[in-house]
Amino acid sequence: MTWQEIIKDLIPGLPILLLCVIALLVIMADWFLDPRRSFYVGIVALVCLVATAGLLVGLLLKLAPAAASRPLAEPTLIFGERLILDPLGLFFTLFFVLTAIACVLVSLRTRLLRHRRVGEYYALLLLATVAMAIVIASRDFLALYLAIETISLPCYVLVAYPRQERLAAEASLKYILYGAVASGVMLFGISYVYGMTGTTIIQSIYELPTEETAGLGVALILILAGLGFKMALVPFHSWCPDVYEGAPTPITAYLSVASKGAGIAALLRIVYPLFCATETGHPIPAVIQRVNPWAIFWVLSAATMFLGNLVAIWQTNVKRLLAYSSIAHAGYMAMAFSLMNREAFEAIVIYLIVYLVMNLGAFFTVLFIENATTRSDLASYSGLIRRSPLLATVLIIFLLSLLGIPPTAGFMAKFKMFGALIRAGNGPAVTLAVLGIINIVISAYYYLKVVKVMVFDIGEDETAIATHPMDGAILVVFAIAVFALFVFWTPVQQLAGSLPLNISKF
Amino acid sequence: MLVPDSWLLTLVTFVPLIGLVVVLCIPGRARRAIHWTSACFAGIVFLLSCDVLVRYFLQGGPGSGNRFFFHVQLNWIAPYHIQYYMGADGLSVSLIFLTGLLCFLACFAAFNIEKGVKGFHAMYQLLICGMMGVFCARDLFLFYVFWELMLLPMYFLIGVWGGPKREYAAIKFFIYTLIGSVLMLLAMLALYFRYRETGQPFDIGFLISQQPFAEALYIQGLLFWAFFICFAIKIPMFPFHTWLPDAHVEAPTAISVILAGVLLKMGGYGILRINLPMFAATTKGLTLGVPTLYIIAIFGLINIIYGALCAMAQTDFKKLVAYSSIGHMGYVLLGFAAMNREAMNGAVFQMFNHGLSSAMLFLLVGVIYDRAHHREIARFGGLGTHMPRYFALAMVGFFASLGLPGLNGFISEVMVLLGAFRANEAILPHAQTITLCAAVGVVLTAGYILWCVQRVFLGEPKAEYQSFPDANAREVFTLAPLAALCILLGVYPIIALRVFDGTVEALIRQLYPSI
Repeated sequence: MTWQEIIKDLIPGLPILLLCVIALLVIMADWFLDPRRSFYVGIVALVCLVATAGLLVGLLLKLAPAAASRPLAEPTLIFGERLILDPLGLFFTLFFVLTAIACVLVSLRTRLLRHRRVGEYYALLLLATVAMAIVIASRDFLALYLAIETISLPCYVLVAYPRQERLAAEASLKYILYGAVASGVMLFGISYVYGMTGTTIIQSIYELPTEETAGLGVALILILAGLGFKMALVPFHSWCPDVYEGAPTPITAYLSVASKGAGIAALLRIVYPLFCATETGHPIPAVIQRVNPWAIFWVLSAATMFLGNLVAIWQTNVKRLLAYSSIAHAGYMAMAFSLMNREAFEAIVIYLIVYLVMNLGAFFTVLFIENATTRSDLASYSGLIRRSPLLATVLIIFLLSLLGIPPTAGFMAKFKMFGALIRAGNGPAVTLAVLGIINIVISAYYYLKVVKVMVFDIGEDETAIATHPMDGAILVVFAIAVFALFVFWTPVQQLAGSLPLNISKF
Repeated sequence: MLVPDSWLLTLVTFVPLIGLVVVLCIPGRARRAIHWTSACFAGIVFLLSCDVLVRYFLQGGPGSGNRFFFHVQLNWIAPYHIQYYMGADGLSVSLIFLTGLLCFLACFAAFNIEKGVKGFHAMYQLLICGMMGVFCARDLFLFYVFWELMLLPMYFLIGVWGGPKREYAAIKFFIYTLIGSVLMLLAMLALYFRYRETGQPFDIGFLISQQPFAEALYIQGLLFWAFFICFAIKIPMFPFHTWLPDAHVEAPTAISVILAGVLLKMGGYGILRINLPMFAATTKGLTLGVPTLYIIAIFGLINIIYGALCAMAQTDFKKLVAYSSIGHMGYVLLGFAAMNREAMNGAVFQMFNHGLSSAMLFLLVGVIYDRAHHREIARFGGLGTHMPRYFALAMVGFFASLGLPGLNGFISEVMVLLGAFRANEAILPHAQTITLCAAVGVVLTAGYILWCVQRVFLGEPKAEYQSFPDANAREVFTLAPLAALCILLGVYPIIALRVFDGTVEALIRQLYPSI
């Protein structure tokens, strides 16, 4: 490639580039700042991320309606057609940047990061975000693999960040071992694709002849192992509770939202042509129909929902309980992949937006409680409503949203998701919807168990917990967002509807 | 009065939310201030509900069939065609009035709450909002939102301020009702996708006129039963009734009154508003080879007999009243199944009367529990001797529940039984046998109520109860209006029957135009 081509490719990739630059900036800021002033590194990261978010919002508002109106719009392809930049990519990049902003903001407030050098912490968080932006932009399996690995490596380190804690080190080791095996298996699957098609471009799997059904099926399942690991789908979920429990809570929050989002982004890119096919009327290749990814995702989502919800009932640690609840939510999100049409696509987008708000809110509340009491087991939450009405009330709001009760945003997401299934109307879809509502009822038990412990039980320690105004403000913003998203459902729906599914070159 | 018609239902539903905010602003230590503020707002809601009733009469409501009044229709969530659409016909008006009355009176019964008064009344106001919204909503999505809105306040009200097993009762109530709600959600989604292109997928009136899935009765049957199970859990119909004894017994007095008086009526309201009219083919036809109405009638019969028998076996006063609720709501189901004007009017009237009489019974139990701190019937005795005012009001309440002629319970039970007896054999097979068996329930009801009255109020006065003060002004204030209404409606029931007769007649004419 000539210099001119490289420059021409970098300009559309500005958001990704900006994130890389910010990550490096943060490392450099850490060198120049006094260790006692490490706080400011976080501020630098925050300011730059907010600027990037602003840029992304601007781009999204400008590009999304335009792309939707042009039939079979041509997206921008860069780096030898390995990366693709389109409104979907902009949306997901914005999603990851917003998650990073929230986690950086909260990391500034967490007790565990004070009085340390934190440059690496923020830099690793940002590098993971960059990699996530590349995941949604990848058109090539190797780029996808590279990006997934680049997400995982900083996350392995971040999970172990409080070096002295045994639990964190154990969690990190489990994460590394599990992740290494999962990504190895994924690479093996990618090698199958290369062997069958001779190229690693994702779209090539749709051009395979029908004889390759077995090979493609095996390859997809192997690749799914790696992506399911990121998303915490059953049976690739076992790392999730241990890692969530052991990691520092801002990182747990980040993993629960961003890692899941990255998994979904990767899955979306791989099956994007199937989503588009229902929109544009393109026939689905016979080889894909015989592999039947819809059935695979049906089974995965049903298993994930049930396991997540049933095991959560027995948990006595709130972080583990929320970890299993995240697993269950991954199951709800995977329901959309059993349909793969426009409705399902919008359902995933809305679910992710809502999930960001409610899950981050829940974990942040757990974090602030942990800051004050150094404990996150359920028994220590007894009587929280009397110790800190603010923390208890916002946690109740987030738990109800996770459950899916109107008038919270969680109901909106579930309504859309179940709506997509009922709309499809066929036997398997309706059965999955019924299984889903059974799961909602099961999940009511453990979400309400936390509410019960906070409100009904008398704790051994009834001293009041003081919440810093900044912490309280963050939580109140998230809690208001939970209701606001429900009341202002229309703009969210319009955003989801404006993301185009009519792109010809995948 | 001062407010335009279109604002009336919005006010009656959302004024409690203003009450919620005001209550939250009062400092928690000012208990009396919070009690009286909440009572004021409940009073405002009651006045508004009276206004609804009065305007309904003035605008010629009775006799106008099932015309809807006080419309307000605004776009809310335009992409899904969800509207803020409220309206009230005779049936809604009668239940709105009942809700307003009971919420106001129960608020006074809550005056003896000592701890966490602010939270109690905040949840209470939210509950009033949800209940009123359910009776006013004409948009199915709005109906669902208000239905779900009640879950959480009830969970807290039972779970925090209730009796010894309150947490168990609260979670049981929540999960039972949630199961019904998610079934309704699925059915609602199916209706939405069927009628999305018409632009009115959630408009209840429109859906009734469309008779969804009349061409695919299998699907219509599934939807009918999904909605029916949701409402049956609320009624509560055997075998979905097991949440009720626990919830009623463990809830504080005021909440028991609201539960028995209003929440149970929502099940009946839902069946009349959504289930029967919208799925006429399933209503009139067969489910798995058996006529649907026959199934409903049989379950109504089971409710009556089973409720009465269980009530007779109870040793806890409040649990006896709870099971009597199950029994009384059985008459409602029987009346619905009979599908003639007399029986259905009787069923709706029974809903209204049961609201009054069971509210009275729970208030009465509350009075004696406040003094004795136990509810064991066997330990009571001779209360009538030293508490004459209480005894008088108790007699009205118990005999209204029993169905003594001269009180309202008699009218509604007789109408249901007569109507069911005269039901068309083609519509409800074996109607006469079912009615005869249900009439046995009257004897059983008399059995347990008279036995309870005899054990508690009559007989030798016991030394431990000699010092009990008679019902004080607050308690008389909560009981007397209900007693007065029981007597009034027993002697002159036509004033109530005229209100919802139009809805009932229109429904019957819609389902059976030839009869």
